[in-house]
Amino acid sequence: MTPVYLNQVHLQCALGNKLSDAAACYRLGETPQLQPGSDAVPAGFFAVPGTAPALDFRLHQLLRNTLQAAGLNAADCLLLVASTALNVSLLEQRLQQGEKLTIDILPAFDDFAADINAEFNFAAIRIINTACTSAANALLYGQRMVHAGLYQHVLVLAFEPPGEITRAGFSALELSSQSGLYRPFHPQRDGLILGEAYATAILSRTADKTTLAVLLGGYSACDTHNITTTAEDGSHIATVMLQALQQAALQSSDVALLKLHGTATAANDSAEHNGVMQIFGQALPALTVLKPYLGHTLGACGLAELALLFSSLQQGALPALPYADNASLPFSGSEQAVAPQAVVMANFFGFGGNNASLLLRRC
Amino acid sequence: MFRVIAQHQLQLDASSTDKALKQLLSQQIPQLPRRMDRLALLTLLLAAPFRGQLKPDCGIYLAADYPSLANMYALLDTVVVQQQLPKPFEFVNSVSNAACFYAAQILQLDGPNVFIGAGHAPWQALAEFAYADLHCHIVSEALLIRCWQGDNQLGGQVLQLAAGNWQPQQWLFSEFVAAM
Repeated sequence: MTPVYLNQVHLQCALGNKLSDAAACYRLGETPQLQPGSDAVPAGFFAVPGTAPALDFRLHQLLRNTLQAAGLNAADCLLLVASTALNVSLLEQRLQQGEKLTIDILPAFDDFAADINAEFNFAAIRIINTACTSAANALLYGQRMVHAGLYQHVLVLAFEPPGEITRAGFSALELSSQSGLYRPFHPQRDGLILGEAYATAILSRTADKTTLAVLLGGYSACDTHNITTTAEDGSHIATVMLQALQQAALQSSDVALLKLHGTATAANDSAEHNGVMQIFGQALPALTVLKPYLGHTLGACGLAELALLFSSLQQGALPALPYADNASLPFSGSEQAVAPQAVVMANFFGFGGNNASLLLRRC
Repeated sequence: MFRVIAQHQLQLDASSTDKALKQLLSQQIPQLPRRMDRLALLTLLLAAPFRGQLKPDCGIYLAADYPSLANMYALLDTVVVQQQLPKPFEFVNSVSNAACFYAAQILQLDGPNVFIGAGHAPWQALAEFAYADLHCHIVSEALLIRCWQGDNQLGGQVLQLAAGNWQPQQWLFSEFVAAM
């Protein structure tokens, strides 16, 4: 598999509007302030700080800045869009402002692509929705399409705005944290906190001066056990991690750091714990979770979490997990330094049985 | 690039109810998953003829113009208009690759599955994802499903592909069928 470099990585998230600022906050162990919910949807969420620009303005600006910084024309790039909510939040706003709901106003996926290409002229636009593995799959398919010679450059746009439907949906499933504490693998974990995020990266065969990491390979497959939960014995997760290692021509002993999916829901944490133990046994690599710092950014987490992780690694050591002593996996209670060129495995799982695992190397 | 193994097409009356679709499907699949939305029902109707015909690592690549329209309407009405929590299964089904999940389940496949917006050139989009996986030896076969729903349409087209030497020129379904 041809390694592809993650260049021009941008992130706007609950820890900041700039990736380097967010990474600096994360390295200090800072967590975002919880935005309160509403009467209808009491669960709070982690919002991007500051006054929110309109979604389409924000996305166009992000794409424009990414392309300009890379010195690339849109026509030279495939655009892979990864999001579960896409632009439904815009429709939610129109309904909140009094517009009548009819079937006719429901947007087609192509409307979103047409809006993007009204300003840009991408070689092609593909909208991927595989739930919380959307961005992880965008990275994997971006790499495979470059490897197959279909495109020279792939721009991944991963985003998740704070939609009412998403927040209400997770509340209805009783997966949202009531305590407002986001603690994956903690014995008293009580669910997830959603996070807002907007991220971009350009995948290319060559590095540039902004390269954060190189994607070595990975694997993604569907577990047909249950539509909302993967097999709790971790067997499918273990299979996906093993296949990912094989695709990247690596062994488990090559992995220096494992970025867990870690949603802090009982079913996910238990299945991931079991899957990880099947692959690594007692020889566990260093472990980390990002969702306490970003929230669960759903379809965007595949890029948002990697952006925060690798930008932080460029700045220095990763912060200690405050509840490491109580966690069900051996997280570090002190700062963790990760060597240059170290291999990182990153897990992402989602509804619809989608499990994905990626292997990357620090640059 | 490709070898075209099989194809299937289906055109239904757009006014068919979900109940009618379920009845049609139950003639082919004895035990149906519960609480599927219209997009999932349509996807299964398109996928059902391929039961037992696919290798276990076959990838599923599904394209549609919309998420399930009735399901999205119900979610918006419940959550935004009525300010209530949605039914859990409606929310889960709104994750559009739910249709892919049910297809993988009834076809007993454990390969990758991907849902994409259909866009202007759905067969090129689907075929590029499939080619990426075939070329990288992630899968040995690919099932490409294109669903039509909304705009007074209900139906779709399916292709079963493997790696081969034939390359489409215009990325039209008819071109793939002619290459069989």
